This record gives sequence, C-alpha cells and structure tokens, in this order.
Amino acid sequence: MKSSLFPLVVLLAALSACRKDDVDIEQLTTNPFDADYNGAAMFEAIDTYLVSEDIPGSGTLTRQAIRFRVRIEQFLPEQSGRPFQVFVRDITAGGSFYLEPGVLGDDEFTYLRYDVSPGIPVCLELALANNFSAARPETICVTL
Amino acid sequence: MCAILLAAVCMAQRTGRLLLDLSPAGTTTYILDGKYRMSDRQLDLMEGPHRFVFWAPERRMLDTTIVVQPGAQVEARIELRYSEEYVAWRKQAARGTTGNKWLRYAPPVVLAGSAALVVVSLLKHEQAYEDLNALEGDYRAQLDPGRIAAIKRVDLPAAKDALSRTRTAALAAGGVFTLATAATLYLRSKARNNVQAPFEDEERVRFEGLVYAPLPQGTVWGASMSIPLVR
Repeated sequence: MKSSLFPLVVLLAALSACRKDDVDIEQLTTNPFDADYNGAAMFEAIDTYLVSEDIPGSGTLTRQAIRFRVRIEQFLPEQSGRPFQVFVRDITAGGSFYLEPGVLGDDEFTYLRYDVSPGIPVCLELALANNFSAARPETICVTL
Repeated sequence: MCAILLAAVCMAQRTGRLLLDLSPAGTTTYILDGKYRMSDRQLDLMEGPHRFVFWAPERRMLDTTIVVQPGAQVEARIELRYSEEYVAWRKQAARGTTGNKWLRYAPPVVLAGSAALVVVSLLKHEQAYEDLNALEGDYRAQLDPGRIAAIKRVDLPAAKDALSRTRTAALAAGGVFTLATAATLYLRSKARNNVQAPFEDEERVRFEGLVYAPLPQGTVWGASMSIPLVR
C-alpha cells in the first residue's frame, strides 16, 4: 500500500511544483522609461528666463532658458543613480534635442531656445530617454 | 550316488557379479526382476537374465534385461535420458522465465525513465520560470526605452510561451509517470501470480507402480501416488 502511494505522492509533489505565470505584460507600466508608463508626471517646469551672451564681433546673443526638473524620486529603486537623457521637442519653434545632465544624478535640466517670445506660452514635449530612444512624452508650457 | 551328486552340481545355479555405472549417479534407482527396488551399484546375482527397470527423477525409465554370467563380473553402463514431460516442462519454464524477466525489469526501467523525464521537465520549467522573473526584474531596472519595448514585445511573450510549454511538458511527463507507475504495479502483481507450476514426474508414478511384493497370501502389486506439496 505504501509503495503504491509513493509514486502518487511524487506525482502530486511534481504537479504542485508547476509554476504559475503571474507576469501580466499589460500591467507592466510602472517603469518611467517605458513608453507605456502610466504613473504620475515625470517633469515639472521650474522657471524660464533670458540668457544674454556677448559674442565678440557679433554682439549680444539672447536666448530663452527653460528650466525643468525630472522627478527622479519616482524612479524605481533599481534605477536610482544611473545616467539617463531627456528628449526635448520644441513644439512652438520645432526641432528636437537630447539633453544630458550636467552632473550624474542631477535632476534639473535647462533648455535654451533661440526664439525669444515674451508673453507667448512656449511648450516643450519632454521624455525620458537613453541610447537615443524616448519614453512616454509629456508636455510642459512656460511663459516668459 | 555319484551320478546323483554330479547331476546336482551340474544343475545348481551359480552367481555372477554385476557392476552398474549409473548416470545420473546419485539419484538413479532401479527395480530388479519386478520385485526389489534398489540403488546398489554392485550386485551378486544368480546367473541368467535379470530384468532391470532404471529410473531417476526427471528421467525416462529404462526397462532392460541384463544377463549375468556365472563366475564372471559384468559391468553395465546405464545413462538415463530426460523424459519428454520434463523437457517440455523445462521449455515452458524457460518461456515463463523470459516473460517474467520482461515483466520484472521492463516496468521499473520505464518508470525510472519517466521519473527522469519528470525531473528534467520540472528543471526546465523552473528555469523558464526563473527566466521570466529575471525579465520582469530586467524591466524594472531598465532605463533604455528601446530595450524596454523589446522586453515587452519580444522577450516576455517568448518567456511566457516557454513557461507554458515547459508546464505542459511537465504535466505530460507526470501523466507518463503515473501510467508507468500503474503499469509497474499491475505487471508486478501479474508477475507475482505467474509462477511456474512444479514439475510432476509421471515417470516416477509409473516407476513406483511397478513393484510387487510376493506375500504368503499371494502376490501384491504396489502402487503409489505423488502429491506435490510444494504449492
């Protein structure tokens, strides 16, 4: 009796060892670098201001600086302290750029645009990026 | 008077010696002249023909006459052949033994193979599960949107497929293992019941029925019956 029960016990143990597939791809939206990320906004505008620069022989070059911040506190724990880029598309003037942080771990970025438009809202499409591929885009607007 | 004595001497039977070389040596017995069951290898007999019926277990009886020469020593070599019944029984036993070997050894081999299949399938299944979890971890740690898209569109579906495939394989292996277990138990019980019947030596019955004992009341034929008690 015991010997006939043993294989059944082994079989039950083997079947109970079968793993359940508990990874739902549709639910994988928690990574801010994922194009399908559906968490809170990752960017916030800080301010905008004029930057003047003397260029010898050409006069003074004035540009509009837009400072914004990446909410790195919303990064997943595994992602903290690692380098990343920010993709910027100037919706108002056109053109797109990849910005690198000045210092590793820095969460503030400054975008300089040549079209200075006082009183007119300037909107930027921003996205976290790496290796020149961008995640979910967000839009921030500032007015000088 | 002298003539009477001479006649008596001439008519008196004299003896001769008979040496029997029997094969099989230890178990051959014989019935001498239908009266005496013996196993002696050396006999001093009256001159003239004597009837011998030799027999040994599993052998055919040999019914023969040996003539004893007066004052001489005769050596007879008797070799008994196996009986037809015993040869047939041996063949059947050999067939049964071969069948029993298959019944005894094949199911455990299949069972061991299916158990190994279960183990290998489960190991592969566990590996697929770990791969899937590793990809999920990779998704969480990844900062490259392109790589994240590849994980979600290619790697994770492939890993989920692999997990599903290995689970099916493990379940199939478990089913094979169950069937092999059931077959092993069934065939083992069948092999246990499939025991060869002991040999019933009919030659022995015939041999033992040959003896008669001359008694004062008259001659009595002896008969015997064998009851196999081994079973």
